[in-house]
Amino acid sequence: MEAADRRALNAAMARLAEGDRSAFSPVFEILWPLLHSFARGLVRDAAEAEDAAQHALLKVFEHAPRFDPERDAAAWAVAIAANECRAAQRRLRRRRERTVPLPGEADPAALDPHPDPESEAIERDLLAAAAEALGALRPEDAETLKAAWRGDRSALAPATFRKRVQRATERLRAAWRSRHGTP
Amino acid sequence: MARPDTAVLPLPLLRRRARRTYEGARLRCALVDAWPVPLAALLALRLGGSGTHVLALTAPLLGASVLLLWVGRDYGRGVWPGLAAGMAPLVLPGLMLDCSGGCSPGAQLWCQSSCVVGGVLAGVVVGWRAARLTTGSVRFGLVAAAVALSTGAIGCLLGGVLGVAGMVVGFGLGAVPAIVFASSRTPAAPAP
Repeated sequence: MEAADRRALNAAMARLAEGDRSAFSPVFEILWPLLHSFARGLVRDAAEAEDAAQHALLKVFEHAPRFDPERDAAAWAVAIAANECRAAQRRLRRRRERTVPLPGEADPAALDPHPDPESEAIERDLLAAAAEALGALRPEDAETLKAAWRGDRSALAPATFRKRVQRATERLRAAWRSRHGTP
Repeated sequence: MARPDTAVLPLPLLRRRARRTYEGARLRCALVDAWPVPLAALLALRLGGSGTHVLALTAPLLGASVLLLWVGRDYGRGVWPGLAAGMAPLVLPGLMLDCSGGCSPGAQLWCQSSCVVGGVLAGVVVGWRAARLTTGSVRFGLVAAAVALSTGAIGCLLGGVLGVAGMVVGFGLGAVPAIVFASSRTPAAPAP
């Protein structure tokens, strides 16, 4: 953030804390892009990042009447955004753990509590076929795909991980085609 | 995907919601910050004020204080100094006397005199604070004066109409010299 913008934000936030409503727009226009880009950098999911940034912005305005003019407004707002982003990341992790089944595992969300025998048989066959195709891959390809399904990138750089997932997916498609002939 | 209880808002809606959030927060802060007003009412009742009179004066004072604190700036800044200054005329009439239900005829003179003294003290405080400001001193002074006199009137009603009038006169007698004296010195920091 430019020093001039930071000074302008500090001055506007101090005025807003005192009740000067004309400071609302300058604060909004400086803070929103800052918090939005900060959240996008921390949270991979675009919708969650936007949601976190919006909640952070609303919290800033909720606490604005008690803002201490001795503080740095940008640092204060970013700290609020960081908390929102951490909460967003926790939600994403919990969602992935709840909803992503691995091949060989039953998908709880998809299970019909009262399946008919034919649906059960089809599901069993599909899962077996998927497990077989996955089993035909090299171990590192299988692990890469499992990590991708779990949302766990581990220590790899994003670009490297994306490339590995892409190659593993192509090999999985090839394995599936060779066994089942589906285009 | 966003949280189930929220939706990602388009920018114009986000701006409107942020504004509503800010104004709502200011109002909540104003309600909290007006706590001295009910305290002043309890004090006045304890010192012998009539419940009806105290309520009749406290309710509009509370509403005005909340409004001024919500508006903020020079208007909001005058509320607390005004409440503090108004405590002198509020407590003095009832402090030394047992005036439950109002002052007896024999004690009326004391009540009225102490209202004048309380008004002088309140005027000195408000005049001094207002004169020391570099900006917004008139608005601040007017708000603080109105709040101080309204607060003081809760207690000075023990002395009747003359008690309240004496407080107002005393306020002027205290404020004018304080303003003149404070203005002749170098002003301190801007707003309180």
